[in-house]
Amino acid sequence: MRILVCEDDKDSQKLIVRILQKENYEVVTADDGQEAWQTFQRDDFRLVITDWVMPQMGGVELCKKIRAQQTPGYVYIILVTSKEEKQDLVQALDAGADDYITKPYDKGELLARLRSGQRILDLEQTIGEKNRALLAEKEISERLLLSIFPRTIADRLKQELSPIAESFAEASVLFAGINDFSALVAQKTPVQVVDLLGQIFAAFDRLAEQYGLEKIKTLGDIYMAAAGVPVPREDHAEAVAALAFAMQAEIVRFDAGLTVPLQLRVGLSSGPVVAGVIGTTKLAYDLWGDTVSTAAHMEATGLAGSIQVSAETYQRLQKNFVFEERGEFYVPGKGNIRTYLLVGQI
Amino acid sequence: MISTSDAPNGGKIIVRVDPDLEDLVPGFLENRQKDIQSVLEALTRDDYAAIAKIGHTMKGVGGGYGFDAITDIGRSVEQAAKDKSPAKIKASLDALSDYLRRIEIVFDPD
Repeated sequence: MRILVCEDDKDSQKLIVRILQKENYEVVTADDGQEAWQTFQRDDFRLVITDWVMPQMGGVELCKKIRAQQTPGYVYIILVTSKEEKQDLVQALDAGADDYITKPYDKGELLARLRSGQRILDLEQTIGEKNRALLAEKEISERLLLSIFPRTIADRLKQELSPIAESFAEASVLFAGINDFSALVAQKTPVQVVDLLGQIFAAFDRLAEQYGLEKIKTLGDIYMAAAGVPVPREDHAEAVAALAFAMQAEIVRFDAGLTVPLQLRVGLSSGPVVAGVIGTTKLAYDLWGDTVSTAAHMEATGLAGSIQVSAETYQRLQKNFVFEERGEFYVPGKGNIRTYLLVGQI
Repeated sequence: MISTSDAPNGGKIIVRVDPDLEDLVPGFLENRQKDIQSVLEALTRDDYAAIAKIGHTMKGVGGGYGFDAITDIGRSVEQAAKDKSPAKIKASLDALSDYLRRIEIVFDPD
């Protein structure tokens, strides 16, 4: 270990260097506090032994400067001095010295106090390593948490357990289902189905992130996302429309080993939603409300390769997007509702 | 460590010193001779601060090399300087000079 020794008296300096080098310490010397301070700033020292009374800068001032400096690790400082009064000891320790030896010192005592200092430095290193490991674990946990919840919700859950519920006056919801999924399942092994779904949903996750939407959940072959939650945005309808087009373009790239390419049925709806987290185990961020059920119905009654939207979404997008009127459908609990197919952007 | 059996008669004073310091001892003792000169010069200027500093240094370094008496004399010089007493300072210098003349060094790890 390297030690910075600061001592203006040459005989004292030679003595301490001899003692330390005999114990295989690497010693760097300075003839006064100012030189020691300049040397300390240039290099990394964890052990410093300094005299008190010196020209240019004394040992106490050196201690204070070292303590005021941001260092990569703890610096153990031993003050060696002929000053003998109790108030001198107090002053030295308050200035930041960790130990204080009165001259003339016993060689054995000096070395024992050095070893004591080394134990503290070793302990600091161990704690540092454990902290770094804990931090790495925390980062993994944080990533896992953020893979499940939006950041704002994750931060709130750290402070308080569920329920968390918020009303949003304006949001848009997307449901996408793989057309003829049951036929796909029949022709593939379970592992193949899960593997394929995993790849498809991973691609959809990337698209959702790219377009700034919040993926809500998957259910079987159904993928659900939303715009305008948990952070409101004025262009929520445009965002889900953009994601819908991107997903339709993406799905055909997957080779499922079938005679026909994969296709999606996509359903969109817009309006008020309630969003939040309920329950005490297996928590999840979810949405509720008529807008959600309408979007799901748009998907369920949609056409392969098409994007079916509710009247609410149509009203918000009609100026900038091209639609085909699909007609009216009877929905239990809502009666007849008019739907549209989103075919392009103006 | 002073061998007290020799000290009162003006004979040799045996001092046991760590063999690891053998090559440093001549320079150390030479500097103590220089200290005597430096203190005498400082006395001509009434520079008690300089004398106190020399005594303070001597006090701190003597015992570390194995010369406890030099630590004691250094303490005396420092105090005498604080008291601004030329007589006490000179008495301490005489003691140091006598001591340096009479010491016989034995390099002994114990």
